[in-house]
Amino acid sequence: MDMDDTSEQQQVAFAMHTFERIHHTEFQRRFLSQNTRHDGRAFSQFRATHVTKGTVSTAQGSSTVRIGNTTVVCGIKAEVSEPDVKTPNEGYLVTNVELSPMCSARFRPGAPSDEAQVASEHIHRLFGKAVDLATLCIESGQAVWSLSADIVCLKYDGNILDTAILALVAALEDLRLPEAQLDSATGVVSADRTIARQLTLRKRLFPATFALVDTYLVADADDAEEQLATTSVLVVLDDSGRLANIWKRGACPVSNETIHQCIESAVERAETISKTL
Amino acid sequence: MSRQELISPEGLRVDGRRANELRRISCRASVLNSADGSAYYEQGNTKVLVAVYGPREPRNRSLAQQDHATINVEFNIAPFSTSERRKRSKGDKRLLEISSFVKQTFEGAIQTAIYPRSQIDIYIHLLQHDGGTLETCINAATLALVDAGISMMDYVCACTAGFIDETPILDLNFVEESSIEVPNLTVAIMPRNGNIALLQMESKLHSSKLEDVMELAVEGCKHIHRKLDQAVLVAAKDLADKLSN
Repeated sequence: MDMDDTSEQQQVAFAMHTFERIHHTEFQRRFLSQNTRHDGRAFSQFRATHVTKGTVSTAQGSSTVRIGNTTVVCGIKAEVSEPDVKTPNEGYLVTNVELSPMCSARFRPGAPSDEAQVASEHIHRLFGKAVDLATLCIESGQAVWSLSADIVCLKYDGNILDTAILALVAALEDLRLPEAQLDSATGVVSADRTIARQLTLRKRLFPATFALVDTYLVADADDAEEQLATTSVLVVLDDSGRLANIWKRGACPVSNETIHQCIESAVERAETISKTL
Repeated sequence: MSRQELISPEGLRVDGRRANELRRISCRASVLNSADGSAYYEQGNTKVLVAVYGPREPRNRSLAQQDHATINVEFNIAPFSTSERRKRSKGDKRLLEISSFVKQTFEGAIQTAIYPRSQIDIYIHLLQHDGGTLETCINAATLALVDAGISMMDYVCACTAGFIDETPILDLNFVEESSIEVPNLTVAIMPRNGNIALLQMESKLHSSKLEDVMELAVEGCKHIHRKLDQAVLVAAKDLADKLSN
């Protein structure tokens, strides 16, 4: 397929991928102006989503989630630690998102990027309410479970937040904690691996991210579209259809209707992914 | 703690293998589309993912060598990969050691002279750990480098071997590896001429036994070579199919 450069009287023909390389913005705009996207999706269409639970046997709970080309692995390790003095009955859930240079040429080796840290923090706050931390208590004021959820991105192609949130939901559902008891005489916590306890989530979370590219609202932007997006809106719903979180990022202001449109699409999306999860 | 029996009277090891048996290997090249070359490699329960970027312009100009390519290896362990969650520590010596072994091995294998003023990045991610980290890293990196189309003298195939109760054993798993009595020998060879690219041994072994253990490890390397070769063939066929369509 050849594209013509119509801006000048001189006609130059390019192969499609050459055009994409030299004028990335215009390349995307041409598709959007034709009511389609460069990968053939409709504006409100999400990429194929696959969830596999229990993929890492060394972790107490794990999952692999793919949204299009974006792939993440989430592994949860459970350790015993002392509770905070202010909350003697509550355990911990520590989240960490890792965007290594392996998953995309965009990331540099070394300290975690701002993007990774912001994602970790956002997910941490989101799940602080979804997980009943009191169920992680072993002995009040003495010993609690500390869950470290590490979300490692293997392949980055946009929309890391949706993928990471889904992965953590799946890994938490996969989590099996051994029955633990504190021996008050010795102060040693012993765990019985034969009795595996599942963690009940207060609510399952269903994320949906939308990006505003020029004036077009697209669902589940991939890396190429994310580069152009001026704003993105994350809507997280729980299983009873209530809003758990809305997060609009980016400099470009959006109208009230746009937000409503996002929520409506997010409700549809939640219905579809609740079946795959 | 009493000594755990690593070989049963029937001659079986803790995971049910015979002394000269490798763990199940499954590998695939071209798993990541963002990288120039990539590979996923599983040996038993040890799983690694490798991405190769390059040859590309060095990030830091001062790193550029006028007559050959610079090789950069980053080795990373997923925190959930081991039985105890690994605490993140910057510049972990063990990680640096492994990445420097991999780097030194491939500096000899890659024809760096044909890529002057450029850098080749090898990112290794260990997803699940069950012994034999170095061998799996080297094997996976070979596959990823071949996938990236980087000129090499030959494959580099690595394998471990140990010695328990007067018997040389092949491809140590985590339990065998962590036992103090078991010497842990890692050999990497270039299969075409049989040259040794890397040889490393931890713990002690009588010098007269070394040859037997080495021989077994080299046998293992040759077997792994065939496996890698098959994976390259599959990837090449895939590519050929895509090009012809």
